[in-house]
Amino acid sequence: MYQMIFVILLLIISYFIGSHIERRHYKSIIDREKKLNKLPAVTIKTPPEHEKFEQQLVLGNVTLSVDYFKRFLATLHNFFGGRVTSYETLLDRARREALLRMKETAAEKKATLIFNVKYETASIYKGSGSAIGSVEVLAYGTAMIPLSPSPQ
Amino acid sequence: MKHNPPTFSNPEIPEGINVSKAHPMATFIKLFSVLVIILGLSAWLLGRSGEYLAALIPFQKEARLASSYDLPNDSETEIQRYLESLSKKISDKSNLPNGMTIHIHYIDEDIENAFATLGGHIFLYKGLLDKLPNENSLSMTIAHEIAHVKHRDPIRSLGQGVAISTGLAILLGSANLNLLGSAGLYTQLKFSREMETLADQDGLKALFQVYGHVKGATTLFKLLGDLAEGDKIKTPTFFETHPLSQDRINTIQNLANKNRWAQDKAITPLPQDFKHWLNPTEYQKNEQE
Repeated sequence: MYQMIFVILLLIISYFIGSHIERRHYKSIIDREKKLNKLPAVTIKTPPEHEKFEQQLVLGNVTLSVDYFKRFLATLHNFFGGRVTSYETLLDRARREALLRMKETAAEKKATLIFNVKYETASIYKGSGSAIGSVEVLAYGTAMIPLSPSPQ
Repeated sequence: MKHNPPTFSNPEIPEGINVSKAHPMATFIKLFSVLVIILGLSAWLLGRSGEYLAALIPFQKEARLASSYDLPNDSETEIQRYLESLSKKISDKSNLPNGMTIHIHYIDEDIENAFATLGGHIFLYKGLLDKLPNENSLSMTIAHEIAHVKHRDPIRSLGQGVAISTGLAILLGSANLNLLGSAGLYTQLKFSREMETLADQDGLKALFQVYGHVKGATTLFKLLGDLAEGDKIKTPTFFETHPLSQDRINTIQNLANKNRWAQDKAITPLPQDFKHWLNPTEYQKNEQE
């Protein structure tokens, strides 16, 4: 009985805290994406040849976790099947955050383009069953830093 | 030769492409209530099938199972002898199937309780006996418990519990299949309201067979009701498992009326020394004074 009350309490608390954190994170992601939109990140594999560039590997890495409430909800999704909607925002946020961090690194290096962008996703729960619902997303690409200032 | 430099750009991606619009709380409530309904239904179905299967176990097997648990050492006291002879009288009139024997155990504890368990064992606690005003109400109590044994209620209740906990063990992966728990035979099994009503009816019939009237039965339930009423905070254990509503008294009354079982005959008092048997030390002290 007490265990049940404890679980319900945890669900309520984690629901409010979790959704607050998520809202704040989305706000920050959208703001930064607007700012960094002028630095394109593309997936082509051949670098443009019209200019001389210094090419550097840039990485953006993030580890995110869902809250207790959403993990509980995911268990329910697991039972019934269908879209695991409670993990969708987690992965969406993690991918965008990783790309943003990569872009921020590239912007510091004064790059004008990132090409050959790739993602790696890893779940961090191996061995601990369903106790942890975290993902790691790594975005990486090649930053093109112009050697001479562009003619414009 | 001059190339047109290639242009690269990232479009602004609209929100909500990778995330569904379903509100997490609404999804949770929907899925959770469906799950609860499914679990409830399967538990009910499992319980009913366990109950049905357990009733098919022969009584001899049930008695053997019960004898694997610790039984109280019934001392050869006056009260034990009296209760045994009374229960013999009632069980003779209860139409028990062949091979079904009743074992009565008097427990010297101040708990207002009486219950029947596996193997025809019936436990009567001093606390309850102390409150009973006459032999008829005591007989009704015993007859009610004997009727539970006759209907195989203990093993059916156990079968229901075992089926549900097996289902839980499969679901949760943790097996705790100890049949009766740490208290062994002293664990009180839960009987359904329907079981209680049927035990009331059969008990009343046996009471009529023994005394030729059913006076004392309704007075017993009225008394028990009053006791529960007067002591709401510390409800005696007996009432937690035997819901005492006016309905129940009415059902008994109707049954007695229908069968024209007299309710106004003289009651049989308890043996003179009954209170003495229950509280030997107290009476010794009184005598010394």
